[in-house]
Amino acid sequence: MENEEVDLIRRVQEGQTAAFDLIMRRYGERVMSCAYQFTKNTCDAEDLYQETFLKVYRNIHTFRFESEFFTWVYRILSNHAFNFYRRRKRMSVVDPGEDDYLWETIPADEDTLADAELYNPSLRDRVDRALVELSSQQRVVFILKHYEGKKIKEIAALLDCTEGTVKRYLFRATRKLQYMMGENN
Amino acid sequence: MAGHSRFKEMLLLYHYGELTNAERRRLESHLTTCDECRAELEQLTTMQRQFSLASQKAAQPELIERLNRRVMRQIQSRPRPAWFGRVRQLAEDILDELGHSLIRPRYQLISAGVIFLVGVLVGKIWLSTGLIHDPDMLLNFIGQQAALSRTDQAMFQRAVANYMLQSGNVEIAELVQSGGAENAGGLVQVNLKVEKSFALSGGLDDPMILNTLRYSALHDQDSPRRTRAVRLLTEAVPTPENENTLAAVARHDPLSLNRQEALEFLAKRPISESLLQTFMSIALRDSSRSLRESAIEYLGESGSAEVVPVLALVSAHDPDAELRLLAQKQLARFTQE
Repeated sequence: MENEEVDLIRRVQEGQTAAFDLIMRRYGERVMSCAYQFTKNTCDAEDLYQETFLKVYRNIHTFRFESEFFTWVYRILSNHAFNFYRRRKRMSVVDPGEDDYLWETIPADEDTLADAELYNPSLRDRVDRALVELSSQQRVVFILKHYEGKKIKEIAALLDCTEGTVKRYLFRATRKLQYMMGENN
Repeated sequence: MAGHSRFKEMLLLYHYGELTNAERRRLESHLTTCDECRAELEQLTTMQRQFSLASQKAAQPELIERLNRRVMRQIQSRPRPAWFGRVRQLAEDILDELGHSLIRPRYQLISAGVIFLVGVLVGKIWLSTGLIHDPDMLLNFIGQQAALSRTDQAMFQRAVANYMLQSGNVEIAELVQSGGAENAGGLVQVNLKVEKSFALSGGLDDPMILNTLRYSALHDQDSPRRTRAVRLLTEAVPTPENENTLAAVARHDPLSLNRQEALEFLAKRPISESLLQTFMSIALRDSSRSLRESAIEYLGESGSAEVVPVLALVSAHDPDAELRLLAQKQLARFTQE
């Protein structure tokens, strides 16, 4: 961990609230990207972002520098996302596209560009709609596995559940997505 | 094939590189002879490529800055004594942990058992009271008590309705305003449907009526009734609760008519931080162009420096040229000042 990062965390732990703003600036973009990935909806991503950082702030005194700070933040974020819609008692919806200008599309890397023949403009929409059909637990597990490339063991540790549970969610998510994408095609 | 279904389960783990070496070798040997599994593996690979192509998005810095300011305001506006923070955190952690544990399959059975036991206990108490004809039994019971005056009965009905509203287990059947729909001074009757209906009457200054209207404005599935509730709320004496409800309507109601009505009400209220947040949110993302125009104009007139990044964002990136122009005009007011 960089000295500057350690210093920032220590300052917040000592009660210097203003230093927390610098922490958010440092990790905000990554946290927001992940939050959007989990919710597929700007409004919910904003809520998830705020709840995550508020919880990070409230718990920062428990951070013991035994892991990377972002790993710790990510654990809070994914845990929150895991329970997000259940806690809010509302259904997730896909953004109708009105908020697109709040987001930049990151160009795909060379490997994925090589597959460009698979891409068509409605693909993102189809993928988002398919993901939204999953329960928040299935979606979080799928995203952690598929996009973040985490091992099942790591996901179980992040979400504080058993590897069997993670596998179950992953199987169900994949089956549902295969069906949805097949149906859309 | 005896072990075929087992191999199908292993395919996903193979695809994600989660099998042990021995399992991987076994599956690979199976794949050489099984067309179905090979096709499924191919399907998984295609899906992975589709998802990878469609996934990447990063938030604009302005969006992050706005959220960071909001978080910092929340942090700074609520300084708590250390002990309070610890107790609260402990309670939240316990609730989180409990909520998290209960969704695990092995605890679901236990939860179901606990709920069943609690249900039996409550049922026993319920039966022992002799008042078993739920859900309107309490209302009947109140109505049959000769000792209660009409005022007392009305008060009890209000209490029941209040409880129902809080529990969310109620449907608003009708909103009736006596003396003509536009008569703001007239009584408002709210018909609540439990299983049998009952009605409450009161003025727009009656807390129970207002409570019901706020509930209807936010949760009513019947659009015309929700619209009436929103309109009645805009006619009532403004209170922070009404203002918060109308702010939520302005941001989230699916009907632009309701959002418009709420927004017009809010625009007349004294500027506050939460109002600015509402208008900024609408200026950025409402599906109705005219509402976004109103919100952008309001932000320009507000004179608050806080709205500048939002106006800048719209003026620079919004796909609608006219909204960009409008936002630029409003921004110019700040530079002139």
